[in-house]
Amino acid sequence: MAPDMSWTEPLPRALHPMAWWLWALGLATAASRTTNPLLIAVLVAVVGYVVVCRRGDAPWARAFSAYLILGLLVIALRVVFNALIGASDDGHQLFALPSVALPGWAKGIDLGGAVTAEQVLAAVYEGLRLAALICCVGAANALANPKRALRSLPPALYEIGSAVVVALTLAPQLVESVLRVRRARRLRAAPGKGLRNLRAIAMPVLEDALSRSLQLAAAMDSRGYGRSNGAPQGLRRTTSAFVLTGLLALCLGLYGLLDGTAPPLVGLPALTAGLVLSGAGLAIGGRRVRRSTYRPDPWRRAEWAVGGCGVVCAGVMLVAGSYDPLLLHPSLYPLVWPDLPLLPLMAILVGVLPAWLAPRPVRAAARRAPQLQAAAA
Amino acid sequence: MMLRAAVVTALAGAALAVPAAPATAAACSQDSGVTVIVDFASLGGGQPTRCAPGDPSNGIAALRGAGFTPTRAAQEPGYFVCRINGKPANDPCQRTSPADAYWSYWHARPGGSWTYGNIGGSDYDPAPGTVDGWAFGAGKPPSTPPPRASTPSAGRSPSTVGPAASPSPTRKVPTVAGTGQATARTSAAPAPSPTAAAASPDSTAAAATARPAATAAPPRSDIVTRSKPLRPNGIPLGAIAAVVLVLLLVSAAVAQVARRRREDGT
Repeated sequence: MAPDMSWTEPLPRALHPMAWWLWALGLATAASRTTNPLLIAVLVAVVGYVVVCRRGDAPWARAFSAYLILGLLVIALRVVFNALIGASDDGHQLFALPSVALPGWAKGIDLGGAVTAEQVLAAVYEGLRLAALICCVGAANALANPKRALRSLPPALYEIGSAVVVALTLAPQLVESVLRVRRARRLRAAPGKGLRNLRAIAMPVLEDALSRSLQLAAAMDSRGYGRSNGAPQGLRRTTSAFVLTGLLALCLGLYGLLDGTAPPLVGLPALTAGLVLSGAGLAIGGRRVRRSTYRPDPWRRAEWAVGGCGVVCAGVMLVAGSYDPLLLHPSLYPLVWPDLPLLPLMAILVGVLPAWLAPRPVRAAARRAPQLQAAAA
Repeated sequence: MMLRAAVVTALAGAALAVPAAPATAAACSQDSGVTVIVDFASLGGGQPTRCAPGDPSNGIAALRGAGFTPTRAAQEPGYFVCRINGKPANDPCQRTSPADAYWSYWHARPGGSWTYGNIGGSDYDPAPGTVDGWAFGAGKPPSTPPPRASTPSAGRSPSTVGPAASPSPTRKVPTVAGTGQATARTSAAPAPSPTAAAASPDSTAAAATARPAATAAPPRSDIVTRSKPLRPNGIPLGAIAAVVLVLLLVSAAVAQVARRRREDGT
């Protein structure tokens, strides 16, 4: 029999978590390079669509809406503070707040006064960018399994890795706890909304999240995470010194690369030094840690494709930004409609491809449904 | 497009500044105005010294009153001066300039020494008889010391002003150079868009109203409430396309959620 050459949809499986993180960080890099509200709106819609298409049943998969709300909150806060203490010299006045006269030494700050359209828009543009970054991280949290992400860390990083995972899962854990507590209260016919019920919900939620974090820590400890494995103390100290300095240099280098105004020494040299140092630390530390992996996450074509989408998006945006920065930053003085530049738009639209390139997630409900139908028949 | 609009506005400002400001090309005599020095030295120019007559309401108004043309950063709500007379042309003029290449703002008594301005040009109100300095670079003061006030009789002849300041204004007349440059660039751009054209009368009106008000010295006379409604620059095709795209994606997402609900339900 000749093999069937027609395209068949791959079997549902969970994508490698690092592929989702690569995709999300690529889109976040793209978002950080622009203040064009049209581009950012498209980017957030793209991220949301991919999340809706490819999230699983896991509790953390529902966290995305919480990140969206957080993003809206960021924009609102920015606008309010900008209206209160921002400088507004000229422009189209929307309304005027009562203005407070400050003494001479604080004259650079304007409390209240006229609020102009330009000023509000500047706050919205900046807030939108930050909200887009939050959405990208939220998407990665919703799509990637944080507990499996830990396995793909190099062995020498296990000691920090558990801290990283606890930190990364805290927000999804909290959202999950809120959902559980609210569901429990609904089942008991308790009113679920209103400020007065906040106390009734907050305590169980905090308690729940804390006890689950402790559970996770205990489970990781029993599996050998964060154990020194009887290595000599000198070696352990050298390893952690290497890794910590390396990671610090990496952070500095990345900051220098992303921030155009940083001194040149902070950029590439610090990044290289960080890579070398942490690489040496990982090599030394990794020698003494031997762990086998049960059911390793494969890295197949779909992972390459999803990760590649993020890298292409970030790369094209960086190139477009260096080619013509004016397109990515619309003018407010004078106030004009922002353009929708074609090349960055295409780069962002590449980010939507994982909605089809990634395999369908494994879903308990979908698995159960055929059985139910069979049982009913 | 955006760049062109900025240039056209700058041109209008320069064109206005020439007839409207009887700026004398020297330091002010006594308290007749605010002396303004702009140090182009690090950009390969001179250090023109001029007088903004009367009592300008703030540092930007003084700069304009002395016949210079500041350009503001396009995305900064505060009036951040990123170029004066179109220099430096390599600054993108979007956000604040880098800390090692920006126009720093200085104050001085005539014949005194420079002090760094802690307040931006749009918030600081220079008193008549004082000297304002603008220097490009990493926050260094202007390379010439603040000139002494010229005596009223010698006000028009630059030779008696100050030893350091006198040659530069006669040698270099930046207004003319600036205007010429702007005209050349505008003529290179064939059709300025309606907004750019419409925006420039606005800014001229703004400058014109700001100057008479300056003598009355209300603290925030720079706020211009335009009676005109917010008006788009032509048809915002980009915005429409983006909205359509976002709506498409959102409706697809809603459909997907509904399908999932159906799958999960029952």
